[in-house]
Amino acid sequence: MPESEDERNRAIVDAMRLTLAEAVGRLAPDIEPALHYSPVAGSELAEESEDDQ
Amino acid sequence: MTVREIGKMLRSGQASCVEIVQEALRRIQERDRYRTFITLMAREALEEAAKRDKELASGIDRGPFHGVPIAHKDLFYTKGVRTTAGSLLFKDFIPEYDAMVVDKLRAGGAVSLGKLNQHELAYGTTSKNPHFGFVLNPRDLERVPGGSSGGSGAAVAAGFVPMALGTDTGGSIRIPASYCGVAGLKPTYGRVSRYGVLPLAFSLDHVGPLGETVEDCALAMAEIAGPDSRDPTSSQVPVPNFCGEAPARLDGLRIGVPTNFYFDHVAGDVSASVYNAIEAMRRLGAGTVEVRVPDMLELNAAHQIVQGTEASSLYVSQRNGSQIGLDVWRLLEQGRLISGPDYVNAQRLRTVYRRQFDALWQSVDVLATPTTPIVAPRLEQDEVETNGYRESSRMAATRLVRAVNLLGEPALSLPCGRSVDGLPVGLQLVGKPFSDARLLGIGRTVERHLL
Repeated sequence: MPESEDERNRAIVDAMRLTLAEAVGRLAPDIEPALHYSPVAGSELAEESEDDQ
Repeated sequence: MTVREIGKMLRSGQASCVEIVQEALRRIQERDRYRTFITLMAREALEEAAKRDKELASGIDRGPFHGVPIAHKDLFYTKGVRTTAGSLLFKDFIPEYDAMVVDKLRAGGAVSLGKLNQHELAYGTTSKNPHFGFVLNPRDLERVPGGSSGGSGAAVAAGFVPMALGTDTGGSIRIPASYCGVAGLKPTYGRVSRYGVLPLAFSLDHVGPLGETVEDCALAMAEIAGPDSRDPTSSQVPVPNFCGEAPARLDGLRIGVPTNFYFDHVAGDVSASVYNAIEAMRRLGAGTVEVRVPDMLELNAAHQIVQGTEASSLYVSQRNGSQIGLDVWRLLEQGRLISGPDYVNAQRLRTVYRRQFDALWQSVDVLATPTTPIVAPRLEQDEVETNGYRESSRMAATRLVRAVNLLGEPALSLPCGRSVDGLPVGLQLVGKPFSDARLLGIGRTVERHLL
């Protein structure tokens, strides 16, 4: 039976996810705990709210 | 003709800007069987050229691009001119402002001839556009020009313009540069503003030039590089001089030659041309260092996950593919299947590999690799086989270029030889972040000795 479009797409994505999961497993000790992203980076509002306290 | 050659003609009085533009338009109208343009702006270009002539006559010279015809991939916003991204989704989209890079090139005196064909939504490597026509490779009309900036590569290769702008999310400047036999630079992430550029994947998209020569790319970078307050990802790192003298020799340069990944499953005539270019660099005084690069298969998988998620997030409201080509629709569907944890982990892996590459840059100055493992495939060729290794033409095209988008390093592709069929082969030089000017200088030296 021919593979459906959905099955084909899922197989492609599963292959990527497997490679990624292996990398995460192998590199786990080195992986940063979180993305380098601060929601208040560069915001002057952060300073103002500190003053309010 | 290169940017410098056109400039000499203008300043020596051999031709006017209007005559140069008229001649470019005539060539396009007579010979554009490659379907490079979606919108040709003949009237506007001639009006602009007339203004540039008046300026030169009154002693105003805007610099190297003064009066030089160029063109833009059709995803750069152009005020009052339709900007389609090669898609029916944007067939009636007329921007109300210019992209920062469009604005900068016009301020530098360049004359835009129009908007170039591309792979639909910049999401593919063939530029077989189902809505605006398949772009053909001027080196062999039965082959693809690469993509997604296929119209840019083809327009430069056909000699219509000496420089065209493109974008690169997973190789979309370097692949057409390789397949069409022209130069192309993916700059460092943040080096060039993306304000007014239709995105594909916001953390991977780069704007850059494709040129007849590496010098044409360097001249373009001098115009378009720099910070932009309207693009929060643009860098504040000072802009270097892109147009200094190219070094006569490469003494002291440390070229990293990968012993893993980059020369695996590469066509014999492609790797022979690349090794020949590396040998030419050694003769110019450079040293070679064999290096083992981080796991590029994992990097490529992380790239696919980031690109797939970010691209699908843009088109999340498209619930059916009736207006989108099947290949692009499939990729958008695949992106919707990627989970949140996978996307976050792919982003986290970027920092790990960033550190690994930073360590690599301690021992080498550039990496030299093939740009693509194959030469331009035939139009009907969906799969390729290299030394017994079968893969889709898309995966082959992106295999050696996409990881660099995840890391942000600058990467230059320049022609370095011919295959047994006489098709161009691309050499990729990758440098550490913000070494764009040095990379272009090395590329100019290599180009001079390979031509």
